[in-house]
Amino acid sequence: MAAPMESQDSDDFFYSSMKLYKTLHMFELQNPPQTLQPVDENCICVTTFDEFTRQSEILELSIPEKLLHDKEDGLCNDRDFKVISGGFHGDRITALCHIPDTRYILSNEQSSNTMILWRLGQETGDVINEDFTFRNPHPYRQRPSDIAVNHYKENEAVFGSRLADITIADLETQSISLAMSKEGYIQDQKLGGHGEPVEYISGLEFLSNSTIATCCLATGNIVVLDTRDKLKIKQTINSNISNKYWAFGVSRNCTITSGSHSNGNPGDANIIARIANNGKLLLNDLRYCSSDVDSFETGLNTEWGDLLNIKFKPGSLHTISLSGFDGNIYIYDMNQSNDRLNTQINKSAIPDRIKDTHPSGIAIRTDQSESKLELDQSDLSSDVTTDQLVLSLNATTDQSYSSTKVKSPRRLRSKFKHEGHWMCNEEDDCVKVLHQTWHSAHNDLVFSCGSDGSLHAWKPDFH
Amino acid sequence: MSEIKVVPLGAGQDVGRSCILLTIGGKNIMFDCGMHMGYNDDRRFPDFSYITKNEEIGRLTEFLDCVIISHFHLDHCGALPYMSEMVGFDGPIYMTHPTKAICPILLEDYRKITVDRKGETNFFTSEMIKNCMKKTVAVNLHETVQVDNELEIKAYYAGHVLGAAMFHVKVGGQSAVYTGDYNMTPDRHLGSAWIDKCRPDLLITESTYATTIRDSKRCRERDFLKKVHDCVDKGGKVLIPVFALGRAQELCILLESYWDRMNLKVPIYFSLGLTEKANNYYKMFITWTNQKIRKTFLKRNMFEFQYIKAFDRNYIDNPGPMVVFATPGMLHAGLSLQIFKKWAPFENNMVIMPGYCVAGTVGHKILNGVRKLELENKKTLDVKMSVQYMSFSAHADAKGIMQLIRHCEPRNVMLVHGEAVKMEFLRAKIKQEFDIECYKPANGETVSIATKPCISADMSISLLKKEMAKTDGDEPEPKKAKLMHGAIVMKDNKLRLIDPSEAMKELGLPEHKIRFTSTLALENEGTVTQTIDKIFNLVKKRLKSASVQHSTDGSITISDSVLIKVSGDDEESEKDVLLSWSYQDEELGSYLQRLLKAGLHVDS
Repeated sequence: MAAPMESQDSDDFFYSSMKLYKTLHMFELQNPPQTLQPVDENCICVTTFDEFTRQSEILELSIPEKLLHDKEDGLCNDRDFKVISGGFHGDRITALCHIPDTRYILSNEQSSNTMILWRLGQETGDVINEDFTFRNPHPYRQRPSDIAVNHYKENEAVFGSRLADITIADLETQSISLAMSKEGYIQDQKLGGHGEPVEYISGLEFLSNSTIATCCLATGNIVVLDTRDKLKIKQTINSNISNKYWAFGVSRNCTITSGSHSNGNPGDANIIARIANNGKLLLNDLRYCSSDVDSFETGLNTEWGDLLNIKFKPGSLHTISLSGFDGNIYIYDMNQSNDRLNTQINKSAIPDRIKDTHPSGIAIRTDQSESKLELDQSDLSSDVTTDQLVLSLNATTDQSYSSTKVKSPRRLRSKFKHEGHWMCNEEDDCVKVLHQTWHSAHNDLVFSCGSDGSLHAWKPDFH
Repeated sequence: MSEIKVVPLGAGQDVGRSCILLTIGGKNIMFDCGMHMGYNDDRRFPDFSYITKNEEIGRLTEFLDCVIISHFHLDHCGALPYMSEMVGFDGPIYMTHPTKAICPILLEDYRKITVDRKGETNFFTSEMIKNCMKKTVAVNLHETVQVDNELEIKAYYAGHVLGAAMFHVKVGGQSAVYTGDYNMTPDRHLGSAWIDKCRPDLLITESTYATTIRDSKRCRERDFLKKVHDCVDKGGKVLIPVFALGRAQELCILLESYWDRMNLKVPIYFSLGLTEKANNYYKMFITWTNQKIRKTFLKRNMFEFQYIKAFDRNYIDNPGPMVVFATPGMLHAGLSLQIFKKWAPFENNMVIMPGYCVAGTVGHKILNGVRKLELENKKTLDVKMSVQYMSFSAHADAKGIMQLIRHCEPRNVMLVHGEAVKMEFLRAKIKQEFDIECYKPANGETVSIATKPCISADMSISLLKKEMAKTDGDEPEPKKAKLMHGAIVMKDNKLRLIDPSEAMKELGLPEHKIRFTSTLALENEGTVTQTIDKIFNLVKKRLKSASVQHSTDGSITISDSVLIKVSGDDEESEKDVLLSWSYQDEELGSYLQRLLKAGLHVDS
């Protein structure tokens, strides 16, 4: 039977957590929780997986009262999750998607690219039952599907594990309404870049009523598809960074809560953030030039990116949470990047006089072999932007300089780090964060799942 | 088919009162006898009318073989004096030593609150509590106690509170385990629950565990420390009303570590009465605490802390921040109430209630949001201090219950009390994981569980040797089932498996032997002797494992009991073959009959 986790380190963690967190709750499930999804204001769904029996459990849990109130209620003693309903599945489930305003939830399964519709517990019973399985017209067993519900249109969802098998499902008629065409498949091969026919995707999101975004797992390229045009590729945004694993998240300019269909305004999805396993973070604002990229260095790194997870805080365009690198969850505010700025400006030639005589008085270093100018941001006044500098250089020289408008990576320091899974792990083995997500209806409430069976619910104190 | 019956007693599907009636092997046992704290009338007691109104059953004393109390919390023992003295039960009441020591104190406190403060009349008296406790029998952990010559019980460590136990009951080949309240992770002053891999027919436990996923103890402690620290940081005073035993020690140890780590100078006090009682109990029951506490206690007094000092009433009016642990736990009298009255009007101060409070106490009122209290002198007290409810009671949860089931391997699980929740998922989960049934009866509903008791029987040495001779003396594999032939004799309440002839002798019965004889006509050219040889070779070849021998009279003996004799004229082709076999060798005899009927021309 378990030994108490009262090491010096975990004591220190709990003591320091009093200042770092508004709220901190830690739970232990029988098996590691794989993924988690809020169902409504008061409930979440979580799946767990038993490695020995190879069985999954889906649990619908009511959130304890103490987590639901922003204002502290001293008389409230309810700190525990209650099991409302549960179900079983004979395979690992790594993605869940609740269908708003319903008692239905969608899931994937590890060993195929199908999507499963589940019916949560009802008045008469507490068992979560499989209602329907959407078979992918292009079956594939090597990778599970990503799934997303269309918040702009009722009864529609998308699922798929590769560019070639992205499929739209009609949830009402329980049928496939649209699947990737052959042309799309060929495009997929082209995007693969190396003639590889398989382009795994990492995530799916509806950006609007008729557009879907996905991210290529290996290249980080964002691909936007148009559902009105047989899932033809409408837009691509390359990452120009070679890496093994990518994940992406989408911000919306208002929170999506249950009932979003009823008010018809889930918010436009404009900002896309992508994270690579080497810690590079790219930000795109789809309202402007699609190739505008803001890039950041998080300082994180991992060789395996299967667990990479990036989420925007609901209602925020610049606060994100990251996990999948280690046993921690990192929260960043992209508006608070490091002041130090290295700007790269591509050019055809650099006249020597630029180095010494630029009117701004900035020390300019050149690197002939790489044909770039490096400017130290600390030398710039705070109101000089990169674009202004480019224009100024263009004006003072007879050389034309072009800027790729690629903002050089800014170094990001995490605003908050949740170390609870790692610090409170009873075993010596390294615990991994399997999933993390914000609750859309409750300010700052984050849920996170650890490979040691831990389920944490916490609200960071940013002040 | 034998069965075990369980009836949870009580009115309605509600929480807060534990009382289970178990019928096993013809014995009737009551587990716990708790009071429902939410009611002020007879609904607070278990419904004993199930027993007393049934004319066939009669009085409790005649019906119940014993009562077992798991621990001293009132929702498990609060109705005990009512049951034993007002309804009437004179049989044994089993509980652990700490429970026996602490129960009467809590019962008396409860009685005082209910009768003296609330003025209720239909309640047990102090005398009844004393008389009830005279009927109790204290048991040790892991000690098998014979209630009578058939029923035995054994207590196991449950954690939860000092003296809490899970009980294993056994009658013949049937057994059950009742868990009471328990927890599967140790805390600062108690260990975690442990039980033998006893494989009972039935495990009875609380249903609320199975549907709850509990927040960690460390997070509860964190919140407690945060509240205390925030309050004293602002210059406030913190009052923590506690019972002498249980959470007080836990919280003291917690605060001591935190104060040391954070180098805090704010004074922490505990009342003297608290320390005396606590020290006495811990001295008596040191084996019930965890290893760490035992080691500490050997070196020093339980309450010899660096930062925590004895409280003096004069300190109540001292300026500045402080933390005070004081009894009693429900703010119904004594020092804790005195301190509360002084500190309540100031919003900088805080009271932290670490446990449930009985209706009628100040603790109960403020936990229900009452902010204006009427005092005995008709004055009103404005409660401006912060009121915090933080329960630290250690309970198992969904993960813990599965651990317990996995460990003790019951054949069935029963979930009792708790709210009327749907159980299909849990039932399916337990079935899937352990392939056992799970039941959840409503209060007053009887559930019968069929059992297949194992009956053990001694085996006679001669029979054992005979069996071993069949396998050439190889030792049998202990866990492998083996088919034996013998006679079961029941004598002096014991079962024995012996050789049938031995059984006959013991019973003085003559043994009859049945033999079958068959004469076949067999076509074979050659002499009788040649025919015998042919038959011998054929049988030897076909029955490789049997012993086939020539007898001196020319006949063939197989396995020392089947006989083949050939007679006839050497000149004639037709010979008479006599085949004789005993009743026990029917199969062999029939086989040889078929073999010989087929004739000797068959490929031998």
